[in-house]
Amino acid sequence: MESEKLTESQCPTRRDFIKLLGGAAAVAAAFPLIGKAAAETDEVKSEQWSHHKWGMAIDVEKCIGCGRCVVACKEENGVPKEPIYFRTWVERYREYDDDTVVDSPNGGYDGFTSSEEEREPIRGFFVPKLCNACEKSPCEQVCPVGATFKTPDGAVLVDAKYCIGCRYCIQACPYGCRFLNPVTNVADKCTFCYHRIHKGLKPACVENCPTGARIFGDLKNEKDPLRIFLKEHKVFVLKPNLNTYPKVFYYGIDKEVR
Amino acid sequence: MPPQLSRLMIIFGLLAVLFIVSRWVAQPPSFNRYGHYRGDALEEISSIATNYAALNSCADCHEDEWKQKSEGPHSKMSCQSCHGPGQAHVTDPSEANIVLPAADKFCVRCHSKNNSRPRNFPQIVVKEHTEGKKCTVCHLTHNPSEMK
Amino acid sequence: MDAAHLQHIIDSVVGYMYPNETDLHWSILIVLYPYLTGLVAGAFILASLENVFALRALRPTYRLALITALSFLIAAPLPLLAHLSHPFRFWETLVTPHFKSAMAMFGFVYIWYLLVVLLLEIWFEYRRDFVVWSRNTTGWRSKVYRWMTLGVYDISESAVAFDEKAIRTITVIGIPSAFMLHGYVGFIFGSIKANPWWSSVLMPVIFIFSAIVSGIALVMLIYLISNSIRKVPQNMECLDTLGRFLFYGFIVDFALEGLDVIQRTYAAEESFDILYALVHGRLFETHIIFQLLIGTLIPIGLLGMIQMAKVTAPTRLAIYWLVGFAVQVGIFFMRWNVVIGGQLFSKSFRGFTIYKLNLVGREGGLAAAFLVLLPVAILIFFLWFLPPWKEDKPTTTLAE
Repeated sequence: MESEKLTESQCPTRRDFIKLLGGAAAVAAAFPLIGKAAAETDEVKSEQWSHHKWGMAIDVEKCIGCGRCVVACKEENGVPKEPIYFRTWVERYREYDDDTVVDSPNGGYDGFTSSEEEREPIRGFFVPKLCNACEKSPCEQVCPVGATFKTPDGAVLVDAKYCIGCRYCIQACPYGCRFLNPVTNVADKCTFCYHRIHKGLKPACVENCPTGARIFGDLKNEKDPLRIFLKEHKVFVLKPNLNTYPKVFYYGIDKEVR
Repeated sequence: MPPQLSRLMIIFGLLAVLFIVSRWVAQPPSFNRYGHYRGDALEEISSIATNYAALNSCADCHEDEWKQKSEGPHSKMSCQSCHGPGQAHVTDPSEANIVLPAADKFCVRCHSKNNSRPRNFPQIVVKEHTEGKKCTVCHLTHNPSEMK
Repeated sequence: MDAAHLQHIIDSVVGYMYPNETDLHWSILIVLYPYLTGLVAGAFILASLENVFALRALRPTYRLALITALSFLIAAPLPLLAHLSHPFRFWETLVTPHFKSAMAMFGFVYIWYLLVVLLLEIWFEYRRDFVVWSRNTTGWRSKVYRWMTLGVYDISESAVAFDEKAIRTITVIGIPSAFMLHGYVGFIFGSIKANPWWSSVLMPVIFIFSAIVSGIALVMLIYLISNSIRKVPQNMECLDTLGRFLFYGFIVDFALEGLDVIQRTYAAEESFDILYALVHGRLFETHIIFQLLIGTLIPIGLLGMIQMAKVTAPTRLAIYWLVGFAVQVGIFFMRWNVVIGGQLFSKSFRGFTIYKLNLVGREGGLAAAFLVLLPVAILIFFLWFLPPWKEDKPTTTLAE
């Protein structure tokens, strides 16, 4: 609230100042002086935003490795089709007596095939991965300019108009969830389909999962299916030792998953 | 004060003023509105258009298929999971259409035998099960537990 | 990226990489950045040695070291800028720096070091010369020199005495600043907990001492080369002192890196197996051969020999030439192993990818070569425009 008032009161002075400086105005125009500080609506929004805390649970026992979530994500968010750019991808784990084989051909975009000659694993399962929307997010911490940030409702987003493309955040993400978008040339990652959840829809991967393996919801709402799922299941987060406090929870994974 | 020092102080003073002024001018207005980022970015990102339409958008026009689906094992599935993103089609059906998945290659993406899938999930050994026929020859398309 | 290149990288993956990790995000340009800043910090610390500890033997390299530091400092941010995918947004790091980010401080550390330390010290050091040169030369050179005096023409004894006092003060600020400049680069890597190859409290300290080593070796090399070109006899007293400090720096650097290896091996955390496989596999040539053998063990052995045994002057001179080059190779590959090595393995600890350096392109080998040669070109210009040579009579020469 304090800072909003400040911005509001600064605005006229700033404009006068530019008029005054004449020459400097041309320079200033080159910088993005976009948007107006519309204080009242922002206050309302900011309050609404902080009413939620989005999170996701993934029920690995239900995942069939069809990869429809990967397809849906790429279609919904315009993620480049090359096999090295994913906002979400699916890993396959096959555990044998002597070792564990992990793969993710094309991120699971084309689904997974298994031949009949293949030896039978002790255990096989699929693990969908996405941005963990860490509460203590290491990528947000290292962004030098504030182009990556945590929203009041707990998503971690990238401001594509502000990202300078240094890729420090990509290095800082322990989960490999970030990439440099070759079209926009800025860091890119899962947003929990922020544009969908603010229209009352669910993320594309969640809506298109045929088995309901992904449960998306509001951690602040006690009646939310996500909260109920978390109450009823013993869940795990990835790399808890790194102290990132993910808001993506896994049910049914085992020690091999990292 | 030695002249070296006073001269340097003037230069450093000018640089400092230049820095403070340009910082003030160049900082985006919505910066720091909610935190150390451009507040407008929240609005921009949340207003991006969707490609996948709302789940029940299909029911209005495609009543029969919708009813058939809701009676079968795929009742909880989104139509667009198989037919692809449909927002453009919902907005203007004459301009854009949805995808018709191949009735042989597509179904097996979920239902072919795969030793990593949950064991209780319905799976077939394709060669033995289909005998080369398309799935929809026998199975009802939108309610595959029913036979034609 | 073209499809064939991408397919080649995908085919070269062994084990499992997270898909987004397959193609490296930090390339040769990010290798150059710590390499160049290290040379700056090292060269400056060498200059400070002469100043603070009054090592008269190093007098001939004092100005040379300052000019070298400046040339490389001017070039140091260029690889970073060139690597940004939106280079024209760099001003955001100054306008809205994120104080929790190590990288956000780069602009400020850089500006501090350039303006408050290096340029100031050089200005005070050369001020008397500017006044003299502005009178001795004509045309644009005279004009530029006059401009560089900032209008202060007083070169009386008291004014020059003040300059010297100022230089000592700046040096006192400068040494911690040099440590900050490069220790901070180490912190950029050392603070990334996601990457076990980088994440180490020793990283900033190792960076500082490797910087000292690389800087001393670079100035030694430039001194050797410039003397040969100017047909000036090599000053063995100066070179021996440089060699001695290079040796000391090496001992500390080697001990620190050894400590890091011992700690990692003994603690053997979750990531140990993949890092062990990395060093013995995809990083073997650059780490074991180039960094450890050529860049560290051989120079330490040769320099140590000079300290322990009686070695004739021509042999010592040959050793200094050799060590000068070997250290540059070694430190360059040390940076390479940190930056590239840290991205060759998956953060899932399950596999490896490759780094393939293209020749052309913004992040290609030619661009990198240009960015390495650029500071050398700047240096050559400065050596001509701000000649650092003072006619110090060497006390002992090759013909001792």
